[in-house]
Amino acid sequence: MEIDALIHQIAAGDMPAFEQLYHTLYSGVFAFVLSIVQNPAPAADITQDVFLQVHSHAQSFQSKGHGKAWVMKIARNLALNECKRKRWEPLEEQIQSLPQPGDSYALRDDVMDLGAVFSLLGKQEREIVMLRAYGYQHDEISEILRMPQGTVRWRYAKAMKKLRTQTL
Amino acid sequence: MEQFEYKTLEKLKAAVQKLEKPDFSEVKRRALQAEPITEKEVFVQKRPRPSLQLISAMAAVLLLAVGAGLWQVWDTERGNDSYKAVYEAMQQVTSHTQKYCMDTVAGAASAETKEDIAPADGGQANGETAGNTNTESGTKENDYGATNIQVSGVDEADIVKNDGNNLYILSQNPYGTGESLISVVRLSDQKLLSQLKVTSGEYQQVQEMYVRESRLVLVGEKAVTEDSTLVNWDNTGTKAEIYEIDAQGNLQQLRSFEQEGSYITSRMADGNLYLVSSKQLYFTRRIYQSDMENLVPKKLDSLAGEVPVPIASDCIAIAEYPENLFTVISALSITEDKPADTKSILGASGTTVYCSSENLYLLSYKSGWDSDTAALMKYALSGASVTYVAETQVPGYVNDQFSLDESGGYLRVAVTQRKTGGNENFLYIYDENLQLAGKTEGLAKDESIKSVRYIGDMAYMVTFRQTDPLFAIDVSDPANPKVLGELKIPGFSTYLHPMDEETLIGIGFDTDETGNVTTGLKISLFGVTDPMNPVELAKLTLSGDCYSEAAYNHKAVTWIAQDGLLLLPVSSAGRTQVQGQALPVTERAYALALSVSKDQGIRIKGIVQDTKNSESTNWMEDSQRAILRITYAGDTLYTVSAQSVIAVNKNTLALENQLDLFDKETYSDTPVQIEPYTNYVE
Repeated sequence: MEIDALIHQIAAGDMPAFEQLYHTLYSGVFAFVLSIVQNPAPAADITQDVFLQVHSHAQSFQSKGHGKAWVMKIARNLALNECKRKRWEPLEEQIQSLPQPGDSYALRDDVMDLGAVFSLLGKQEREIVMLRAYGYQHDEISEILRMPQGTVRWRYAKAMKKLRTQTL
Repeated sequence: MEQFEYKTLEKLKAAVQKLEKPDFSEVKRRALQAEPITEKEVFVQKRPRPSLQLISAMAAVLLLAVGAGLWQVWDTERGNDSYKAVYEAMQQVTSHTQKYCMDTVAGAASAETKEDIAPADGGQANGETAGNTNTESGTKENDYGATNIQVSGVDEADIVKNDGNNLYILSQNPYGTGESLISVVRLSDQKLLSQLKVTSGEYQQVQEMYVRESRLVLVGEKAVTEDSTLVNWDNTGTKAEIYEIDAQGNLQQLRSFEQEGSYITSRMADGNLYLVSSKQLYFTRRIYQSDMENLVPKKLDSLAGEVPVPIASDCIAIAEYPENLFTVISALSITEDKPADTKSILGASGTTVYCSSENLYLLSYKSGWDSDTAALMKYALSGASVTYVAETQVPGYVNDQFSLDESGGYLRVAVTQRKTGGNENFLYIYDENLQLAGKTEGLAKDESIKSVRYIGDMAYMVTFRQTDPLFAIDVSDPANPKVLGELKIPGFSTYLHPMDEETLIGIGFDTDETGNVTTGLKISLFGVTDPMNPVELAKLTLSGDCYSEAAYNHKAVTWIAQDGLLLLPVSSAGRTQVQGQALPVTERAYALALSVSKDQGIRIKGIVQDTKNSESTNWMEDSQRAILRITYAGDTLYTVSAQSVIAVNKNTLALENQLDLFDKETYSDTPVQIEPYTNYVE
């Protein structure tokens, strides 16, 4: 409910609350957007837009204890829209623009970098894994992705299995 | 969380962190600079007074129009004023949520022009009507497993359907391209009769389906192109496709129907499909009445043409406290070529939907700081038509569709009121006009409702904080519902299934004594022969991080009353244990068969698991062969996963047949192979 409270304060024009929300959720939002657009530069821009939208739409937010999910839904919509608008290159080419093995972003012995993880996982798996990494629960992910909870669970299990078999 | 998982997620986070560039000062600058899209600001509050010049210009245009005989055309075709009421209601949204006001800002000049272009009088909206096509008979009493539903005669969509002759199975393309596969399997010999591929162009994802007599209906979501200069984001439509099933099991498309908004739910009764979707509006700019035609939800019926048609203004009701979203409800016959009847409501999100054979109830939340209030709308269903009846406000949070029940014209609603001083739970009873008829006292302070089931004139309600009180409530007198008895046990049930009039099966979770940690999946048997003293007759706990979709989705529950057989899909991250004994299963989700009786309690009858390729470490095999549903026909049980159907004897669980629905060749012509299968074959 803490996030909900912040959003209500933002609606009332409370800038420190906005700053607090920004710092609390920034990493998760950025990571989630990145998992969709797969390119750090636009992901950073979109993340900024997400918070602007949160700020401008805070008044229409209906508190159901789902503030975190609400922000992520905005993030998802903006990211998906941006992908459509920009007519981005095919997935494979986008991955090229991601850090390559050997870059400082390597996750595990230059093998499992972010690009490799992204190319290994399907679109929904990327989203689910990223949300899980930032502490989102299955029911929240189910709401954000509009997907049954059971599906979220098995897709996540599937993604983990894939990562395990491909990186061990 | 196991170690690999934890490490992987931490490493992912570390990698992402290196790419982050948080810059709050920039966001702050832009937030302060940008005119915040406050609800009030979106709409022009007052019609600006037209200048003299404009008035004369208008008069000239009017004269010209009349002179050219165009007035009539303009009037009916543009028809902007027909959405006046909806537009005005949208403007009022502000007064409920507005905390600070914006003065009239730049853009008023363009508002003037925009408003003045609109004709003064509205055109006639096309209200469509559909006759009652209710000609079909009720359901057959056959010995086969139909989907577990809430209300008898009101079917609910699912991923597996069984009509007694064939099994219909909806699988998603494991390559993640949004393609769906519908397989038709004949029950008598477990032969794959036909398969239909639905590409991602037709649907974003087919989510569920119905089968009735010789019709199959697919329901799912589809991307919709929106005017992005007007609204942001919500570009999802809900789509239904109706197919004819011939004797060979082949599917022939007859009709498709789309309506805007993301898919909420659907029901089917007497061959009529009821579709509910919700369209959220996020404006990118100021909205004028002339925009309304583009804003109101549209529908597209293959019977009616190829162009989406906006819902007529007289088919749009306005909620008492509107929000900027539309819920759309359509009724269409799946057997007759009659136009669909579509109604919409401004300002009700329809988070929970309960549907009896006569009425559809939409519950939507309006929240304040301390408490939740749901707007409850009632729609009357009559064949392929839907009519708005009434609205009321329900004070409290509704757990799920099972919290509602209609009987004898009365609607019962079990709610949790979340208050700062502690939760309280109530049962409200409304008459047919949604006037409050009666209610209980506040129940189970500090707890929340986890599940509810109504059996006849009794309501059984499970609340939880540390222990699981099961309340038995007599609702026979609508004016005076009475709590008769209460039972406290550890854990909680998230689904209650009536075994008979006096016995309930509870599916949920066991917890430790603090109530904070779930210790396993729990199946309970409650005896309510004496409603004053409900008792737990038996229980079975599966420990080892067990999960069953049945705990949250009643459609995953299969109860065969005549055999006392309960079948659930179960998965566990670790080993499943029952009273310290490990079950002989792997991590792949399996079907758990339980014998349930009042005398013998709950016993494990057996396990059905698709063990094909289980020794391989292929991730896809496990998820594709995870058992999702169990159904039956005659003496055979069928377990269904995305990839396979296993037929076993209902009494002995001996294997009869195993059928794979697809192999990698089936999907070899997949247009976009993001994850080629061969990458993962050892």
